[in-house]
Amino acid sequence: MLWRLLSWPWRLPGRILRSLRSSRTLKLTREGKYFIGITIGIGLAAVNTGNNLLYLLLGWLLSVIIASGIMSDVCLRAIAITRRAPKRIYANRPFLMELVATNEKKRLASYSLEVEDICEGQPVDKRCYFLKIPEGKSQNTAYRHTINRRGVYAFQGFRVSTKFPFGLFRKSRRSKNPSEILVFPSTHPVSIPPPRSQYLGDNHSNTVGRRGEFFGLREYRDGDDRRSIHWRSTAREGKLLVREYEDESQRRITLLIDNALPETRGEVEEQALEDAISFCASLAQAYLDKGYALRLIGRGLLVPFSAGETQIQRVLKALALLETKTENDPFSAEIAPRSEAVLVVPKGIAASRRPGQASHILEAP
Amino acid sequence: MRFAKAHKVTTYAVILSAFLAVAFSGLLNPVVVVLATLGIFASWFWEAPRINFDKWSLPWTIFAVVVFLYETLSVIGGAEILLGGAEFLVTLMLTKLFNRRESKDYMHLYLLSFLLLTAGTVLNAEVTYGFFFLCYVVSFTWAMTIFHLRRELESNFLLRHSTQDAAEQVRVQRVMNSKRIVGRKFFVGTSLVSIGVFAGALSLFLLFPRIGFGFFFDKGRGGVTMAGFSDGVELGGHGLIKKDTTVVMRVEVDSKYAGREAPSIHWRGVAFDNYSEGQWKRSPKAPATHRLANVSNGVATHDLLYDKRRMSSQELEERQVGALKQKIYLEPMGNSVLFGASMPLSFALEDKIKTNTRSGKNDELRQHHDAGLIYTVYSDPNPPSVERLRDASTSLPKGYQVYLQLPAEIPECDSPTAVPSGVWKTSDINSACRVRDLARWITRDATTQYDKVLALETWLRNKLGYTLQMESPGEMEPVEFFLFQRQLGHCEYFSSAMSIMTRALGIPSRNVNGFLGGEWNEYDNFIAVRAGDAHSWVEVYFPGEGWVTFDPTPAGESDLLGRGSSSLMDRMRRIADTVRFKWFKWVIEYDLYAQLSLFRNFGKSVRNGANEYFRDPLKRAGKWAKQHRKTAGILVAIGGVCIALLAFWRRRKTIDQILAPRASTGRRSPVVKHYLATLRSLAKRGHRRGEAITPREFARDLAQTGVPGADSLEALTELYYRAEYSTAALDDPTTAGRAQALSQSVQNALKQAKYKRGASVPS
Repeated sequence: MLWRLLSWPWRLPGRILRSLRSSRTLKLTREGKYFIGITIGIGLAAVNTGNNLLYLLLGWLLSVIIASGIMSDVCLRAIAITRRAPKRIYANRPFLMELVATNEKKRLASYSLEVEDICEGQPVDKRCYFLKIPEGKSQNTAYRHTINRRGVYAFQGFRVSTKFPFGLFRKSRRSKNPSEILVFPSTHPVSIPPPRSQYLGDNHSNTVGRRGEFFGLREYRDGDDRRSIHWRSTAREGKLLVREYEDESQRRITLLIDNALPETRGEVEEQALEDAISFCASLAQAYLDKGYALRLIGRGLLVPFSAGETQIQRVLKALALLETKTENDPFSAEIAPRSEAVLVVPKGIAASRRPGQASHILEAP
Repeated sequence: MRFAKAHKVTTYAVILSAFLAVAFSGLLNPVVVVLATLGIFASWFWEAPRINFDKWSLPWTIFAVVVFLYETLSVIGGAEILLGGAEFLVTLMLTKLFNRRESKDYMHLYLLSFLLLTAGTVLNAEVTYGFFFLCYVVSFTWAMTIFHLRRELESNFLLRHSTQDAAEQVRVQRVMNSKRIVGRKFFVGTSLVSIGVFAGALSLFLLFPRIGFGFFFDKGRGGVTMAGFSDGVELGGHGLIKKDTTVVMRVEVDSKYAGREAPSIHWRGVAFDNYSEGQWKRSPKAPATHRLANVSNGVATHDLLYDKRRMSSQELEERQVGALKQKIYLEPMGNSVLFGASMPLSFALEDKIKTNTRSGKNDELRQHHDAGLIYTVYSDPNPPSVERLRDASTSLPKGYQVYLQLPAEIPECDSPTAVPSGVWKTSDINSACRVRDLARWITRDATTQYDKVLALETWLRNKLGYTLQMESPGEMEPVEFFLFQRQLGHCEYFSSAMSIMTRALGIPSRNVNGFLGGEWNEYDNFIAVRAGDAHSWVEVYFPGEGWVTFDPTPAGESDLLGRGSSSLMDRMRRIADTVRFKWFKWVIEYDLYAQLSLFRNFGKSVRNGANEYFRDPLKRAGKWAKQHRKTAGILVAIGGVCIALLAFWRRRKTIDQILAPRASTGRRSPVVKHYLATLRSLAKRGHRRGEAITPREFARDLAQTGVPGADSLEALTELYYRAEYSTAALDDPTTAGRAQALSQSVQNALKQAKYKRGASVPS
């Protein structure tokens, strides 16, 4: 800490150099090109004729250009942009990225700002526009974006630009604001495969007539036993409600994803794996929505049993970050005997060392 | 003010400024000006939804085409092309005003207004252009700024409500009616900007080097056309302009002639030698002006030699001693006469490409100009002494006999006629010789030619009356009519009468036209000579002494406009004239010489100021410090401490920022901290993660390039991912420990690699 205090004078020249090194870019708009053309024309006419009023006009035109540069610079100064991503972002699904622009200047408002988010080094093809940001105030806006693939995406910052005040030039500056977002695999409604009755206790329990303690009432879901419908509560509430028992609340499912691809693989194989991951995520969502406790296993991947909203988050994150493995890489856990397990495999991809005990082996559609 | 209304008001301000800048030139057709003014105001109300633009589109197009054809035919018929173009521009602007629908219509309006303003630079060189130019600058800044916001608003204002709904364009009407977009602060701010722009424009205007080539145009401007300075003048012309206050020239003069009480100066212009049938002319036999012309340092000097054929440079210098210097700013007058205080000795003009100073006759100098002229004159306002004039000889130089010419109506009449004393109006006087007889009678007691001339001047001043009311002399010769019939007249009659009478006595004289006096302008210290100051007087030749000015017009009668009073109206008028003068001096007539002079004066002021405020005090301070070293040392030390404290205080914020813990957006996992520390170590060794590279890609790249510690980095990266995107296990000590170990492993590997590299360098 002391060193940092003592060393700031030596770091000061670097700071000055960095601030002097212009991070602004300037481009002519179409009107700006006409304006420059007119200025040159007036200049030539003034020099040719020696008419002092044309010189006055020329001086004014040049002053407008200078004033435009200064005012646009003032506009861009002390503007802080922050990004607020939604909690969950899915591939192939549009989402709203919220931007908050704050004018940190004390006395001057900023007008006509355009903000572009920069993702993976390239500006996102949406521009957010702020007509006016009063001094000391913030304004929000959002843009809709779609990312086509799951994974981690790095946002480097923003490009803030303005054509204020006259629309002759577009001045831009880059604002660093690095952050990363995690894009989950896309999900879609899927039907979960019917459970193997010998593995579940609701209809085929060894303890006949006893399915565990009464747990509570919940809404009817597809696949529920109609005999579990609690008609009195249903009439009262106006929606189908079923009794939930302790054992049922502990329904478990193991979801397996085979993320192995042959070493020589092309786009087709990669896409097949992506589709499988997406299908797996959809299944996970469906199971967890139904109250299952779910475990996710893949080659080099293990998400332990859990249920609820938190588990869907874990599962989606894990699937978002899931890497491709080879068939030599084993699955991270074994399937317990007599447990429900669904194995999702990429379509058209054969691989070895797949667990054989899975109750269902599904190919991604 | 509502946004939409602010845009409309400022747009109209732009339009009006440009239009009036051209309209005030006075060159546009008055009908066009009136109709255009009415049309501009009427168009304010012509907009949707009151008006259906589509219905009126065709009529307006037809109107514009008709006007275009009319202007084209006018130009073909001989009208000035620029005027026709300006009128057509006005028509286009009106058409556009009545068809304002979209942003691009406003853009067209701004462009048309700019074109009009450009046309005004040629059509209107008056100070009104400067005033409307300033209005245009201010209103243009407002209008273009608001227009830009409006256009951006219309094209950018998209609101996306959700990821599922299609984007819809929000109606901008709510914003257009908003009062919060542009308010007082906005207008004050943009006004300051426009003042800055105007100041910048003036600065650039002063700095641009003036290197006009003038290939196609030669700037000219209108002025006052005056009779009396052409090739001939008819008696009675001056009376028509005696009340005209148009300034024809401004003169910066020595302090002796400055001020309202200073003596009036006769500003000599043209001289006529031949009088007949009531007209003064320049005869073909009139002596040509003798002059010496030389060019030095870009200045052409013309020395008038009058009756001498040659003068040495020493003689020229001697006669300049004590001369009255005048810097004259001459307005265009429709003639090429150069004026100067009687008697002018030399004229100095800029030797430009188009210099075409030509000497006329009767000691006149002429220089053609269309846009006014600036030149310097040196004059001798003091006539020779009375003694020398009385002793002057009577032998005339060759060619000076023309100055004795008398008209046929006024014969010489050699035979003397006795004139009863005191009686000169009766029919007893021989009517054919009465002018000469009158002259002889007036000068009966004079013994020398000078005394005779003086007697004539005095008699005319005292005995005859002044009037501007003209009366036709009928068949009578005008001078005779003036002397014997009406005995009232204005300066032309007085000067003509004196000139004729002196010639009748055999004394050479000529009639001179010019100006007398002028109004003193205390705001800029110059004499404003007006058209109404036009005057006629007489020059009488005394051999050996030259021409001497005599003014027989009663004093005080001819100066109708006076030297100016201190009434409010007169002061306002002088202020306006000063503004106009400054405008022409520093804007219209600003040239390379003025520019260089300005830079020189500016440099001198800066140097003088620097000497006065910096160098001399520094010298004194240095001297004092040498004498009081101890005290000076203490003061310097105290000053240094103060400066350091001040610098520290100003930098306090920066230090606070350094010392303050880095603001954290939330609780940071130890795994993330270790990962970031590892990144910093790698960056120090030249392995910086690019902004567009994800952590995983970065680790993979390092592994592929064989950077030491890359394996550990990959594992650490996985931990980082789990820590950063997982809500669980943030504080897991096992994971944190593993992350620390991996980070240390990377750093150790880098250090070892560096050591090995150092060790492997041959000594």
